[in-house]
Amino acid sequence: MTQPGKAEPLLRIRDATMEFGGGFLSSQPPLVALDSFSLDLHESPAQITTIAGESGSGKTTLANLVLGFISPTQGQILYKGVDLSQLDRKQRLTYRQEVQAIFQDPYDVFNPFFRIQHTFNLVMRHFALAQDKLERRELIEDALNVVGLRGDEILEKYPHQLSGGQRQRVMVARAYLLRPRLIVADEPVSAVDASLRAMILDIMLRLRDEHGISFLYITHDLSTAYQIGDNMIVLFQGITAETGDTGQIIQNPQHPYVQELINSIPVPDPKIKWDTDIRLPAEETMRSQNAEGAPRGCRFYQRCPHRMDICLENQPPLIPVEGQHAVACYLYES
Amino acid sequence: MAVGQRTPDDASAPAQGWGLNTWDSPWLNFKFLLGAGIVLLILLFGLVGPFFWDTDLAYTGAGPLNKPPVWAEGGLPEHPLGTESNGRDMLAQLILATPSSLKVGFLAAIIGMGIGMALGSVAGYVGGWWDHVIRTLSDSAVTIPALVVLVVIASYVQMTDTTAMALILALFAWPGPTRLVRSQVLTLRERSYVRMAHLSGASALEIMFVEMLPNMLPWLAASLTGGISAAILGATGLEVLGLGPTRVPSLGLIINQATTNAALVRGLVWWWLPPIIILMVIFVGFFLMTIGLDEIANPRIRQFSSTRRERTAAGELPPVEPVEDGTAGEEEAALEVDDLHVHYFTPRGEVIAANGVNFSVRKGEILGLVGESGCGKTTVAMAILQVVQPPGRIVQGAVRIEERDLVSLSGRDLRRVRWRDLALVPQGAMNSLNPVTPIREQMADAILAHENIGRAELEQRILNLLNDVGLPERVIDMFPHELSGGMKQRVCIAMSIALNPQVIIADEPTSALDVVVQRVVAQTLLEVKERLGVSMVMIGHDMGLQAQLVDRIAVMYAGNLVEVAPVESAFAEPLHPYTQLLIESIPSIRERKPLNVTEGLTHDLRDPPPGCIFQFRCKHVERICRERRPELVERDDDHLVACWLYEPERHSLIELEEA
Ligand SMILES: Nc1ncnc2c1ncn2[C@@H]1O[C@H](COP(=O)(O)OP(=O)(O)O)[C@@H](O)[C@H]1O
Ligand code: SF4
Ligand code: SF4
Ligand SMILES: [Mg+2]
Repeated sequence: MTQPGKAEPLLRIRDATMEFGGGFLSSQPPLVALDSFSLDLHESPAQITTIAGESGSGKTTLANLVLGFISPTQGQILYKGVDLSQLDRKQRLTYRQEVQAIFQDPYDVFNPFFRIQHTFNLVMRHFALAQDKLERRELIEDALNVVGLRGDEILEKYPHQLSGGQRQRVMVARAYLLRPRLIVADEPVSAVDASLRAMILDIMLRLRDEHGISFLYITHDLSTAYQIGDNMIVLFQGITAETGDTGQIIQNPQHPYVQELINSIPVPDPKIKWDTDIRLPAEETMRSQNAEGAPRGCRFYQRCPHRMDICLENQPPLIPVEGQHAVACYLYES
Repeated sequence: MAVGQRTPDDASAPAQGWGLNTWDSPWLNFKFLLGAGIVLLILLFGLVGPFFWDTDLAYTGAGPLNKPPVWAEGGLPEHPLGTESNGRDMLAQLILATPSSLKVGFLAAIIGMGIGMALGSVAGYVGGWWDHVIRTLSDSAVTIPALVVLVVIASYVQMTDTTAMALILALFAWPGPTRLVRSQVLTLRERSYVRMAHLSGASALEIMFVEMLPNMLPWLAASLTGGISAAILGATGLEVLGLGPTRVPSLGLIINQATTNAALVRGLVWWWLPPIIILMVIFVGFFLMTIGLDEIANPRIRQFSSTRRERTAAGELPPVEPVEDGTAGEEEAALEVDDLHVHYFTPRGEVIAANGVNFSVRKGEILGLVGESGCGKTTVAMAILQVVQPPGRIVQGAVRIEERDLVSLSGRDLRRVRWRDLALVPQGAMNSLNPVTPIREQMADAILAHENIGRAELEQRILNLLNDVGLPERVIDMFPHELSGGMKQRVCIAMSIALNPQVIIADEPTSALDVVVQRVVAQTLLEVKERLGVSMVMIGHDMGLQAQLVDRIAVMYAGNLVEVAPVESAFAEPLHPYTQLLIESIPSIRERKPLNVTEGLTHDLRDPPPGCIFQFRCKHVERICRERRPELVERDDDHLVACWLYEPERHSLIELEEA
């Protein structure tokens, strides 16, 4: 499958579609969580690619697909050129080791039953990272140092004895220990506050720059994406609404939905209050929206201030606007 | 170094609600211990009995016939509990019968549990076809009338011993555990730590047994104790009908023989009553264990049962003397928090989660309470409602609504004030909705817990409330899992305004929602506030949202309020160095700022330093800051701050004093 000449992307997603439910055992039509999603992620230079969107837009489905928790109903996910479902034993182990994750909830990432040590032992054992106890200890210590922690401070503790910040940093250290090529960071800073947020984003930047680790940064928070992200994909109900350079999108959003998103970011200035109310049509906020099967037409239609007749007919394709900046909206069809 | 305890935040996370290594061992549940004690005693009776009493007396012809117990007239000391019509000694019979009845129960339940764990984990973990088949099987199995089928089977199969009996009973003991394990596995597999283990290369078996199983224990244990008593009941039923093994004594068999010998009419009470009493005690024991374990597994059950009780307690409030106090504010306060101290008494020391917190909420205003997680925001909210979770306790201070101090109220009066005047939208509220109960019922429960109204009125009320928060009427018939996060959160807001409170306390009502939905929920709160004229405390850590929503803002750091100010002046001119830090580190979409990385909380909340609470992170720290705690004083118009920077006079006065 490898094409000689061209560098094989680290991760390539081709028209991946993920449906849940449905099937002949169910009376309900399937819910399309992700619809024909494509993405190429190159190994170098390492980049932070933001996947942004509201809850239910398919972000976590995408994370689960990339992490191999689920497989797409249609389409392909290729790691270093090999489809995830065709990896042989050895490739599978490499993939497991090289694609890691950081999750949202620093309270939930540790099994309350075990000391922190358990988390590290697990990876050490399954990936046979060290020859002996000493080397093991050294590797762990080294990983902890990267995130500014010390082993004797935390390894013997139970998760509830650590602060949220420590827990989240331990998670990063755990991922780093495996020397991953790609880390899927699923809302890593949504549940934390200012000081911790900055600390974790900073660690991500350092891992990118000093250790060449790429990130899929999954978030609903565009402002942090703006701070650290290189590229960005905005999802709306499983569809790629807009994709391009992070700065371009934030400063010059094209898709009506992305414009709405950016306008909804609360301005941290009490003198500039939200002027207009926004209303979500009741239907819009409901997951059952997709109940009639895959909807035709633009999924943003009901909320869109610029909707036109043509928008009802087909889902708009991604239309390039400038460079790699592309928008799925008929407004930009020439 | 910062030590993060478990915060009330994770109370909504089920499997984390227990854990042997947390501050209070959950097994120390009174009902569970009492039940376990009872069962143990009964077990001991059967196990130790043979060493003290000759069990051969349990067989025919061992003694005289129909002798009453020793305390009755004609009783013999050789047969303390009397004998029956075949001359068997009752005590010896009971000693043999009790453990054999228990054995059947244990065996059947354990076999059922084993099958249940295997099937349930396959169904939950593998899913797909397997899940469908197993679920259909177990669902249909529970609808079979067990006793009838048992009777039919037992009358065909000759049962020789208790094991055969247990095997037959196990046929009915597996569906419950199967369904339980399946649903537990389905929930747990979504937990981040289980997914992490997966990413660490752990196998399915390892994940099941090492990561998941320990977290299911209380549920499994509750199911097991419930299963044991059900199996004992089934076994006894068969034995009483004479369908059990006849060579082994069992409690049911004794009753069976007593009835076939007409013990009842012949007045041989000592024959049929003792086995029944023992059975009752066994059932009570297991019942207590089961409900105790349920409480351990779902810590919330206890809370809900107390609100149910309120339903009956609809008496009038007794008059409460107004508290004499000179602090009648310039503006009318809807809620006053006065010198509030809340400590968590953990085995590793006292966590000072609120240290002299002072603020008031004015009528019709929204007060924002901000600070990083663990600084005590939720604790303050809980303390206002007088629902601080143990081991926490309000050690000092007052919370006043209309001159009435809630801290000194108790029981019924408190509960009435609590929900009538005050309402809480708890942190993570939307996750606490029961996913399998329709919205109608959950809202009805919330209302009926405090008011007695008829069906039609109730329905109308619920529809109005949904309308108030901008939800369509048909939401009433939907289940939480059919709603989006923002809709669920709005349902919670609707529930909180159901009783027309005067003050709503919303703990991080929009965290975890994306910006658009967050904005809709925030709008909803504003509208509700305007319409009902309520006051609100908005707890949060998103400074941007606070800027948009609140009238005044109170900044909290490590259990202390450090600044309270109208939101405009707090943003335009933050005085406290911590507030300045918070405002500087708001991520912006206007410009790409370098990240402002700072340490989080740097001291242990159990051991606050003398002097200013922020001294370890402050750029402006001076000697005085390390020695004396600055008080919260008014610097500007309505702008309060606790920092020595703004008190040069007092500062020098103290230096003079010391010199
Ligand atoms: N049940 C508890 N046992 C021990 N400490 C607790 C408990 N609940 C909260 N704490 C501690 O009290 C402090 C304040 O917590 P909390 O009120 O939840 O803060 P916030 O809501 O601002 O995040 C934290 O240090 C926390 O660890
Ligand atoms: S395609 Fe039409 S409806 Fe969709 S976003 Fe563009 S203008 Fe709006
Ligand atoms: S009192 Fe001192 S240490 Fe505390 S915030 Fe003010 S200047 Fe900093
Ligand atoms: Mg909180």
